[in-house]
Amino acid sequence: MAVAISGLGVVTTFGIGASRFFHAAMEARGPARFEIKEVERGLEGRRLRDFNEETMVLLLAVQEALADGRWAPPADPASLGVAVSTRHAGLKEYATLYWDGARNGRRVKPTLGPQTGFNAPAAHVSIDLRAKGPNATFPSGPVAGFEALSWAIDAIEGKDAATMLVCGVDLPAAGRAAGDGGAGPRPFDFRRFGSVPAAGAAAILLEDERLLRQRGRLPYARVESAATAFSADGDLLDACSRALEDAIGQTAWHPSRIGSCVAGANGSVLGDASEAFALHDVLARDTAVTAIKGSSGEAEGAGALLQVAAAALSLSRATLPPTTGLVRLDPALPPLMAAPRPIAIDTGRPLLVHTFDPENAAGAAVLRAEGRRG
Amino acid sequence: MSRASVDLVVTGVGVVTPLGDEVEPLWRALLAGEVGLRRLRRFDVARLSADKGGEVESLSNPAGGSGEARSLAFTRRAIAAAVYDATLAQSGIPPERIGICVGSVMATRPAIEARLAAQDQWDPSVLRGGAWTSPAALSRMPAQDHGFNGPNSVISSACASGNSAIAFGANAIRKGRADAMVVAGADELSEAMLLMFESFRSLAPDTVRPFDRNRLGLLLGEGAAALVLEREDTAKRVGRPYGRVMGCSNVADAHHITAPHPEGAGAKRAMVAALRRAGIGSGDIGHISSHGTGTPSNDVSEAQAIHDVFGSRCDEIPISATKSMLGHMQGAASSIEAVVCLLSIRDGLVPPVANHETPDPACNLDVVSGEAREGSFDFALSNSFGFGGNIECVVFGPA
Repeated sequence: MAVAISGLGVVTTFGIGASRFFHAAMEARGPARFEIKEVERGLEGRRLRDFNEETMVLLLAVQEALADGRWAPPADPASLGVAVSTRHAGLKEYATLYWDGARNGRRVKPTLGPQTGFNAPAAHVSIDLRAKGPNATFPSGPVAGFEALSWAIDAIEGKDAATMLVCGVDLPAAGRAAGDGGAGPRPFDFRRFGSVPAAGAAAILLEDERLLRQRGRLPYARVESAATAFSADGDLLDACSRALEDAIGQTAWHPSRIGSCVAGANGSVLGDASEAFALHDVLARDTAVTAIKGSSGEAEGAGALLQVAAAALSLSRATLPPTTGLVRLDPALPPLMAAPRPIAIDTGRPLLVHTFDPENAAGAAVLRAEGRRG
Repeated sequence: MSRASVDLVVTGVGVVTPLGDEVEPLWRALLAGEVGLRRLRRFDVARLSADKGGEVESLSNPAGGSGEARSLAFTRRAIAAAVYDATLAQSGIPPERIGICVGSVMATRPAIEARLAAQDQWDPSVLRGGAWTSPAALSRMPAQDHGFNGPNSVISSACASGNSAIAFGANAIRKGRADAMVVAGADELSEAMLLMFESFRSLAPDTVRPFDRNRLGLLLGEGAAALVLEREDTAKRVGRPYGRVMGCSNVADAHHITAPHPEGAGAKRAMVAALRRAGIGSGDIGHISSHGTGTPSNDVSEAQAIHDVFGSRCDEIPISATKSMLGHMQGAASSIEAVVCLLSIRDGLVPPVANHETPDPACNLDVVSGEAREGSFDFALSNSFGFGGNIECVVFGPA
């Protein structure tokens, strides 16, 4: 069975829409301040007061993905499931509940409690869409998107669902974030200083490709594999390498066939280095690389799926966006075909998506253009 | 989501509960109907309609003063006990083929309460940096403790999280991603959750009475439970495994953010699917470990779903409700209930439901009350339902 991406929904600091995001990345724009008001406008007419901000942002991304995929509610609602990756969803509400209720003795509204859980966004998406299929949330942050993607692929391949919404959402918890006046991220750059937190949400509509084509639609790409890895020994390079090898190993291809890569480099000193060495060790020298977190910032639970969205659009446009923020590749890193300008790619070769987090976990997925939509 | 095509056995178990941290003494306590719900000591209960809960007292200062979340301390302890119990070190399974999945409602989030309590005024910077921003620690730190480099994940499906971790682990082994998975559920008591359930008016003023006509709500608990899952062929070193994981089913109610479907529609679908994936029929189940929170709405909707699935057999399938004794341990609830299912099959005993005195005719189930019930059966079903409509059911089988 083949699993394919049929719709994309993205909300980033550039606004609403996957194309807007990709366009900003193609123009090498760095992440900006996130305005929740635009999300509220996008959900006009909806009752929003029972939703935390992550839920609102995610509902909008889901709305976009469903429209993009020309998706209609299925006859069997149990054939639609939801998998969400996040890290901070509900944290602000949890703190508010405690502060108001326990710290200050105020009455706690019954509508606040359910918004404090990691699963609030996934729950609201399922209720909103009457999606009665599998439903779970993965709260580990940057790599969780690949956990959610892998779980969703298993659900479709196991016929527990025909369609899965694989989503990621996070808003910066507090403190410094994109748009606060600081420098933007500099993936792989010799002057990189660390990641820049940013808001984001991505919704990937994943379907049994056979059923997708039966309803007359073409996919953005086929998802050939997804994998995650963790190093209990504190060796991020090892985790990155294993994730890459596992994701590629699940396909029929030799690593040298991978034509391009959307990397997870986010400007972190050690993380970018570990990823760079892993990519260099595993992939062929002619693999084109981009790191879109130079544009998106570090959107934690949304990060990996924003990368997947960018990858799908890269295949449809035969172009990798530039690595925004990269001026000069750090000479301490191995040579990578990454550049601050768009790179034309061979869409006949598979595209790899890879990311990592600072706690020594990594994830990867392989996408392939297959009779795709442009 | 798991299929019964690869035989998976449970080779080790570890528990941290309000009734202690040793599996067999805990089991004896549950069979005796002992209740571990006492007046809460760590929280100010003046604003609550209930002053009881299931606090873990065995680890008096599990956080060790290091800022480590209690939920993490529980998880590490339960996993360590399960790994030791399973003699995983003698299994010959390479550490890169052993993974961990932990299910939790709130993970390390409650650790923020101590920081907020110390603040004089609201400072949003508290939201960043701190144990509460690292939910993945629940699975990653135990992996570091034991050097396990296999699949590693935290999964959250509200109060169904423990069963979801079991399903995740079973799937990982069946897909060939691991040869052994340590699957756990964990959560700690927190003031926020007490206040949340208080806002719903869901807390029982005195005690928990699942399926009883006079039930008034739930009481919260905390702790962790961990199970080691392996393929049967790698488990031969273990004299007798605890039992098998036969089939799992994850669905969404898609009905309401807090209330279950009034007729238990989602629960019914999940139970039917779990049985199908286990390769057995409704006639094979000898024990149902209910979600059984003791709330008016959950118990009647769960009962309706059980009736829809099991029909006339409802008169003869004993029902247990562990939350009547340990409280609702949140993400750990279905993990500890998994242990109950396995031990019930092993020993042919179903623990009683504490405080079940006046059966609710609207539920009309064969609730075990008074004393543990003897019987001989091969399969048990564990139901778990969570806020937001998350549902995960698991079928367990004999060793």
